[in-house]
Amino acid sequence: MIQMINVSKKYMKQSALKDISLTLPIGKIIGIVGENGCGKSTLLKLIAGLSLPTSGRVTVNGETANRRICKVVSYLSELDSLNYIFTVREALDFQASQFTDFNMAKAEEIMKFMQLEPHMKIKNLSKGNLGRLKIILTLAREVPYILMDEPLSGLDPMVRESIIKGMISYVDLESQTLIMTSHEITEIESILDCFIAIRDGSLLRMADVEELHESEGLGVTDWMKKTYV
Amino acid sequence: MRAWVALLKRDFKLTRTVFFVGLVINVLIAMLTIYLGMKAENTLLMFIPVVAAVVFHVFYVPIIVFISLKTEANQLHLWLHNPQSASTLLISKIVDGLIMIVISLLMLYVMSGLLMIIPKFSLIEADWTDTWISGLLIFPHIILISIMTGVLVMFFWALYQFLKFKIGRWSLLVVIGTVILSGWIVALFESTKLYILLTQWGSMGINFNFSTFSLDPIQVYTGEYFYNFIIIIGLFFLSAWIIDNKVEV
Repeated sequence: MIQMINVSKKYMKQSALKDISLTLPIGKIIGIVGENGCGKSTLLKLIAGLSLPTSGRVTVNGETANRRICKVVSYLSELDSLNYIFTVREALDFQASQFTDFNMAKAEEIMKFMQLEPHMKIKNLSKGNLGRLKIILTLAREVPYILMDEPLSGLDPMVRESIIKGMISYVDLESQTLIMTSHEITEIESILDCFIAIRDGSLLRMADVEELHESEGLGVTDWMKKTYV
Repeated sequence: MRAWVALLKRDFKLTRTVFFVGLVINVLIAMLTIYLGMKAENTLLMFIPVVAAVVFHVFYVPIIVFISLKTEANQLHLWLHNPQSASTLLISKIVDGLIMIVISLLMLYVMSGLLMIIPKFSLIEADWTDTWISGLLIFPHIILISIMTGVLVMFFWALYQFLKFKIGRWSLLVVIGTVILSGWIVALFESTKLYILLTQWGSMGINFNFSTFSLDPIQVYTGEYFYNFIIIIGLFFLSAWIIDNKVEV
């Protein structure tokens, strides 16, 4: 279970998150939604232990999140940076050497699905293929929490749908939770169990997608249009 | 161990360009030495470029560490999202630099040795033996100073990464200020009686008294080595602690 208790984050004087409290269970696909710069990426970085709260507490499975929480958290950054010195195969091998939970067979399977060539040098990959490789490296880990910050960025609109569906098939919802941010909310809405809406760094709403349908008769996209515009 | 070896291989790949450029520079220095040997009348003068190259090696590990950490800074989330402790991540960079400096110095050593036995330069056996022995005394010290400076680079880099999110554009200025201030404090401390008391024990004299050349004996103390060792180990673990607990992306 991921818990955030009264978490605030400031970058110098600028407030990124304000007094966020939430609990995220295992076995869900959770979308974090909100406008640009509202704090979605900061929220993921705090859970990954790569950013530290200015006040409040973030715990993952009862342990305070710091950078070494990565033993139970797999994180995909929105940035396009990867180990450019490697080929795709070397990147997989390096990931396997660092994370004992990295499932190479699963990585091979996802790589085949993503149509990525193992001998290709990372520095020569297109933006779309970099995105695919980041997804492989993140999804092939057998960890309880998978965090993906804008995993679809750079991917062709034509392939996004199939990649989203594929991604879901590689997540074991018995033992894993997938938390993702995306600007393309309409594209991920169909797979979400639950969503967290953030506005100006504050938690606007956290709810099950089904509950939203039942209570307001709206999907996440429609609810966002109604609330944010 | 598999994880650490993979880290070391990765660090080597990050810095190998500098390493290979260094080896090419070594060859160029050997060629310059041959050229000077043919032009200069005093055969020992021709070894000035080699000596300069050896001395310049004190900057070797800090340069390697800086280049490696600079690359990490551009993709910090990638480096920090790793289950290994920061000390494990950092030690791999030091060992990478250590392997490279040893290979580079050995190359210079062997090349100078080969030049010495070229009959044209008519150096006697004693020159070769004396240089060999003085090399054995000087090289470990060059390597030690280089590693110490490398750890200092790590510390100031970690401090900069920590301050970056706290004070923004002032962080570089604060780090430069810290470098100057700490240098001044260390210089002050080293002139106190306490420093003498702490370090001047276990006297050892390093003698360069050979048949072909001699220098005044250099007085060193086991206490000095021990003092520097403690400082460097302390700074190394402080850097690792800052990276583990304070650095953010």
